[in-house]
Amino acid sequence: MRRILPLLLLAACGGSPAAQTAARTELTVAAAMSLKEALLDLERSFEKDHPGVDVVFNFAGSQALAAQILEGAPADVFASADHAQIERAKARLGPPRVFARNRLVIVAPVGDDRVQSPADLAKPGVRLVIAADGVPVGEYARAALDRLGLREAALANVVSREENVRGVVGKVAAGEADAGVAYATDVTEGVQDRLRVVPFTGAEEIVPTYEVAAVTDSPQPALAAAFVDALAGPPGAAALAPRGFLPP
Amino acid sequence: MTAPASDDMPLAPGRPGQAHLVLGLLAGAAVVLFALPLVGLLARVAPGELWRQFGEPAIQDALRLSLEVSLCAAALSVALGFPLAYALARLPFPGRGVVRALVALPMVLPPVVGGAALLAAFGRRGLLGGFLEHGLGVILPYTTAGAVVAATFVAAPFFVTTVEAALRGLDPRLEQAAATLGASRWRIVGTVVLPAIRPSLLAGLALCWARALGEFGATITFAGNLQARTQTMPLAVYEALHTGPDAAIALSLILLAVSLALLAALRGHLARP
Repeated sequence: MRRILPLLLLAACGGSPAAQTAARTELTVAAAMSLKEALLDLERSFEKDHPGVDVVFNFAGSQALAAQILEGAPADVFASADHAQIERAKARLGPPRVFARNRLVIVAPVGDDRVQSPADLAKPGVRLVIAADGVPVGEYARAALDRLGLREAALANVVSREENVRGVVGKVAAGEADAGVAYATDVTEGVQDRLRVVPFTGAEEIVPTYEVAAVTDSPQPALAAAFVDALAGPPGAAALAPRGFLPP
Repeated sequence: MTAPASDDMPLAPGRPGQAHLVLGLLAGAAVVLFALPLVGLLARVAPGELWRQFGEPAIQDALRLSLEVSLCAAALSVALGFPLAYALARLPFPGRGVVRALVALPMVLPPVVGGAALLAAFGRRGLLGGFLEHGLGVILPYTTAGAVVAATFVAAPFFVTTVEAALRGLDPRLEQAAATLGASRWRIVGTVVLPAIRPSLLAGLALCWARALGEFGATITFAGNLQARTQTMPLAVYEALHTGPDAAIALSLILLAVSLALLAALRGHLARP
């Protein structure tokens, strides 16, 4: 046993997955954090339609994914929550397609009544969490505040800038902030009991728009294209609509 | 710290053969693992870009804030940590083993868990958070004070354990002799104990400060990420990696230089006890 233990450790560290999945093809999808539940639903139908394919996801803020793709991270498909991050990574991407839209909302903790309307975000003493520069939901939030003439006052209330939308929702759900700006679809089962949703009245023209593109140097271009087609087609709509996403 | 006669003692005589070859190859792989990332970082630097990055307000804020937070955390670690180390080394109180384990815990605990635990204790809905906010008007999460608390939580144990080990290694007869000569407790600590463990105090302080300077997980969890308030250098590096890699490289180089300087200083101190 003493002799084979190091070998077992080595085997555990690496090597084995290749052996296990020799018959399966992995398709890596880098996807905006807000798409998580919908894409996990799509994974099931896509894998049923494509036997032998294993879809693996890398969920993060789209700006982080664009940076990773530019650094050469292995990915076959990139689904971004805005056009800017697709544009940033375009050196490695095929033509993008719009596949869904979303709605910007204000989330607040249940039991904390400080924020009842967008204007309250600018009230002195309100603790606001939004996403950092470059993070799509943060860019949409700043554009919406700009539109309402609240940008400067509201940004002065920001206590933390998160790396993705779930960071915003999590901090608000924990009650550490009085409000945050997120997508309507982020009020998921896990947090809905702890969150109030306040409509972002007056910012309806800021429409979060999702785009997907295949990575051009993907080792399996046909499969990547098939996933893009599925996401932008009926299977995608069937996964996205029940989660509250709007059609493109 | 009894130093060996020499750093590079020759191996026992015998047939070197295959064993040496294997050891050498694995050791070489280890050196590559440690050296290559540094080379990669340096290779990424465009000197002109580096200077431009230092002028960026976000980078200057991160630098200033990191210094403030890490120095405050180091000061707090000394102010609270020295009495704790002294109590652990010199006062036989019940539950000492438990306290010792508690102090060591943050050194092995994943920092992000430390951050979550700090939220559970001092967050607005934590055990003490309501009292802090409504009783004292203090909010720790997402404030600079919170960043200091997070850094102290992870860094102070390095000071406490280093100093406690030194105190335990100190011959108690020195203190007894001073006491028989009529010196007060305070005087003994000031004139006998502190000078005797000076190298360990400095080493503990340096380790503690370095850990505070590099703190990431507990800080981003408990103190959030806001420029000029809680976005210390490691947080700024992380954010910049996603939006402006040049800034991330510039910040990383500063932290690397600080770490190297600290290592050099520590070596100087540890070499001559």
